[in-house]
Amino acid sequence: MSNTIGSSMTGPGFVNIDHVDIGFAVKGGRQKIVGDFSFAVAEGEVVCLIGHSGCGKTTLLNAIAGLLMPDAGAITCAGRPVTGPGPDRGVVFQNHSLLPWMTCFDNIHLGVQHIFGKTETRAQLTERTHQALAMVRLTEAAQKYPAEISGGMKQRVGIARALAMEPKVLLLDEPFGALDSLTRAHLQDELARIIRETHTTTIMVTHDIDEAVLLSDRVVMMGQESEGSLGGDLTVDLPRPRDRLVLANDPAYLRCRSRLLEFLHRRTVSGLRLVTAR
Amino acid sequence: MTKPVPAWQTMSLSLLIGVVLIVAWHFATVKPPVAAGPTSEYARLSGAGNVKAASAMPTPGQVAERGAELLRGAFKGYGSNNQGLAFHLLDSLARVLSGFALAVAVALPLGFALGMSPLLLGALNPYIQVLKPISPLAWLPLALYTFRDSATSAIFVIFICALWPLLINTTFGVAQVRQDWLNVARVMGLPLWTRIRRIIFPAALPMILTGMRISVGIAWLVIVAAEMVVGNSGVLYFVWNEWNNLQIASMIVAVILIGLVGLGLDQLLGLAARRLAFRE
Repeated sequence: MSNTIGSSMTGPGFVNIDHVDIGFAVKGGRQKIVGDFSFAVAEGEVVCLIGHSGCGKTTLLNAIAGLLMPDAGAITCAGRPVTGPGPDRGVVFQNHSLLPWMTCFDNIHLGVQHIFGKTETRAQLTERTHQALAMVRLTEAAQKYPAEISGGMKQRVGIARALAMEPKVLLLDEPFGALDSLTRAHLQDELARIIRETHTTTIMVTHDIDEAVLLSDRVVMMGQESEGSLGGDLTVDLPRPRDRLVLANDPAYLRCRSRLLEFLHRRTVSGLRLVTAR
Repeated sequence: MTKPVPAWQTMSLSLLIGVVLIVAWHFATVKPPVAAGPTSEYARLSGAGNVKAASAMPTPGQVAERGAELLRGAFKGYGSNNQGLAFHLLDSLARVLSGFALAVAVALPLGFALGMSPLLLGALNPYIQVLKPISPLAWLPLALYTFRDSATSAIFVIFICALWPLLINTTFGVAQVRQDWLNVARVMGLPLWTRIRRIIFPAALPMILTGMRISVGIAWLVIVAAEMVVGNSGVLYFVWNEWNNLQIASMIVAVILIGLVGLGLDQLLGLAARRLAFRE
């Protein structure tokens, strides 16, 4: 059985995940994390990968980033096979991963310098970094060190760092998981605005249902490999910009939400029923 | 959890302990007052009084006096047979720093290579583990035979003993750079040299500085062995020379100075570590 998702898309997409197997070496063989998984993302599309922890969504995202290689299958991005990490795929890491010995400006400038340094003047490079900071509204924190700013600000620098490289695809790995809910809501709106302005193709890993519905054009539900289950995918057909207050009572929004809720909690609920039946 | 103690309390207790130790030292070494009268006369004639006479150990007062004397003449007669104590100290420091500089020059590049290549680390680790515990005293004759020059041998012995802590700390500092930070470099596609300069080096710097601190401390200990063979200058030569002259007070002054200079070196590197360390 093949876990093919996104059959609604005709032909290869901008990012293609084609029958990918990923495993980790364990004692006495390999533990398969992602099994025969396929889906495609169109150019400019925003896709969220949702699933329980341990279902391999972060592993799959790392494979798209090129940070690890699949055991089988192929991943292509913009028509080229992914053979390793590269600046065409910007990554926002789960735990911000800012370099603590550099200012926010330098954290972003490091990549900018390397990627555009050969073709642009110093002033142009500085301008790029300042623009990236302005995009996440952190111009005033440019000369601060990561230890001197809040968790939400760190994650915004992380987003600016990824986008300053002008990637073809933006990959985000549970970027707001460690933030309080108010800051998280703020950053979700911010991210939605940035994606809208830059038209960047985006793949984001999350386990937050509201986040998934609010941000994506399509949600890919990943089940546990051991169960051989695939969740299928869900198209979120809501107009943009989306306002979380207006959507709170929107029937289409609630339908999407309950569909995801059902997917995530189906296993838990059936487990519960077993217990209560005794 | 104990309550934090105010600074004045620790400081006054520290001072009190110091005073008690010096007073105890004074009464343990001071010459007992010679009683007047014929007994004393007799004792002096018969030599019996010598039994109770002062030990060769000087009193704190004598040491202080000798210390002041030595410090007054500290910068006199460089290169002569009885050059000032400061010059002896500077000679020792110069040796320690040359040996240490050599150790840094070897340990840093080698440590980076070992930290970044598990193959190299696995291959060289057995040799490092065997060479590391060898005492400076064991290296000394071999160095003397090889170099046939006492000054070079002294520096070599300091080098070889200061090398290991720095090499090991650099290796593990580099090997243990957080994977997230390396992933940042990979995603940006940074070339090797930029990766080393902007990410691995700053990330490993706190451990490297700790290694340097241990290395300098060891180098300052090893100077004891090294200067036994140099034989014309250095603070250890000074101590040995004064021992031969039975100038115990001078020895004590020099020993205290060795401790103070060692403390100074350690504090200096500690300060550098605090200034250069990043905050998370």
